Amino acid sequence: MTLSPFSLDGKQVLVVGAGAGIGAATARLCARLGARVTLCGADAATLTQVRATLDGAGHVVVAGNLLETGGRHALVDALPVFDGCVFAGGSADTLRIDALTQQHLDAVFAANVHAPLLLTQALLAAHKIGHGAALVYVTGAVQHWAFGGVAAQAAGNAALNAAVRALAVEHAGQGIRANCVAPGVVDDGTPEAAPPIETPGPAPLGAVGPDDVAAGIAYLLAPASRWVSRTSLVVDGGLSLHVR
Amino acid sequence: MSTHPFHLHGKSVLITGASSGIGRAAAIACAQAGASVILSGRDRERLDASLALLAAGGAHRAIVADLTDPAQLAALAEQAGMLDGVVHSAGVTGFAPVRMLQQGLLDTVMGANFTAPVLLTQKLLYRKSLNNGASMVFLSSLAAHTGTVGVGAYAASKAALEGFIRSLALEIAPRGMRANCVAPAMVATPMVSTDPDFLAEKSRHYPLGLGRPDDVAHAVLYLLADASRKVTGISLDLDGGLAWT
Repeated sequence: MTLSPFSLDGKQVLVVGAGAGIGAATARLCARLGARVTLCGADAATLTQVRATLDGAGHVVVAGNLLETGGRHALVDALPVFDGCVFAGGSADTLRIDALTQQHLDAVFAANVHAPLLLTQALLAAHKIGHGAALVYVTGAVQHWAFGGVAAQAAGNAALNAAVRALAVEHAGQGIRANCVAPGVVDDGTPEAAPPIETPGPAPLGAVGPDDVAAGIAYLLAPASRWVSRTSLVVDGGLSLHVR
Repeated sequence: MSTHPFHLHGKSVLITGASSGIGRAAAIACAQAGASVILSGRDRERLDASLALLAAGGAHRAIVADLTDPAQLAALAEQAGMLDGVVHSAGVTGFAPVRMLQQGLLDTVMGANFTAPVLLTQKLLYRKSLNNGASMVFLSSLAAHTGTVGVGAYAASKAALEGFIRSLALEIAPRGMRANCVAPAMVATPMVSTDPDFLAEKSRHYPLGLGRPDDVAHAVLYLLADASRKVTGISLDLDGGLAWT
């Protein structure tokens, strides 16, 4: 049997935000597809727990603070050269425009936009992103429907999406591909810190799980998507169909 | 290798336009991924050539049909049996500046690219030939999103398809069924051109080069497989990183 176009056999894959939810599911699926995974996040103990659930061997935990420059550079120095990078960290509480503060906006953009972009920059500068590598950024389908309370989050998603499209043009010459995955409301089993102000209702295809998003990410990492760059894959069970 | 969600074992997939290009590549990829493939096309000889290329093991069949003929379309829907996937890749181009556009060309392009896949979908749904969880993939085009001189009819037919699948996606969601488009830019297939100089000139515009039929086939595979069970109503751009899309 020939190798599946979805195989990640022998590839080095970085998963940022691998401690929970979409990141953890992505680390597991990549490992199952044959990749050696570097699990990255804030908390070493959590990452180590996730690593214990991965198929195969050779997976590495690298904990560090991505939100500040020193943390990023320490992190990058410890890393191998990657064939794939997934940026899955970041989240945001819902907050109406009336209640938005500079601090909240700065925090959302620091975690959801600046951290993945500046980490990408640091990885590129240190030649840790190999020729022909695939970069995948997790945004959110919330940028499309933008119901009440999600201004900061939706703006961050849209900002990252636009930046990734520019990145893809700038580094296409090295065969590097850069794409986004935009999940809908993902049920990862953890209770929400603050309940959303408004919810868009159930998705036509029902709840989306972390594994569903991970599968889209894996497609964009694999040779199967060799010709795909600058795109945004919506995985939302049809939730944004009314507004797309 | 069925421990990952990208296989099609146990699935029966109908592929139109399977006698060449993207349809043929999709058929080969689906068979490789474990599906039983039903190939459809207009030309018996070329369809049999596609059939001969499929991985052994599945119960593959070829059904000759011109989908712009209502009787042949109905016959295909009847003979296809129960399906878990449909790939609508039969299509035609058609070049004419609007000033020279004639009803005949418009009818040909809309008939093959829009009306035929829509009516085939209608027949399959009406006959209850699609299993719960079935996935339908329609071949749109970059042309549905961008402007190109001389391809108005073609671009309109593909844009129509993208509008259609959003309604379809909502109507079939209660049965876990899905409908999506792939929108490729220029793929080196017989439909586009067989002139190597033309293809080489076009290739210069693409950061990742021109597409190969396999690139589209693999996107189709993702959209047919359970890996994408929560993906519906989308149009997936496949364009080699083209800067202006």
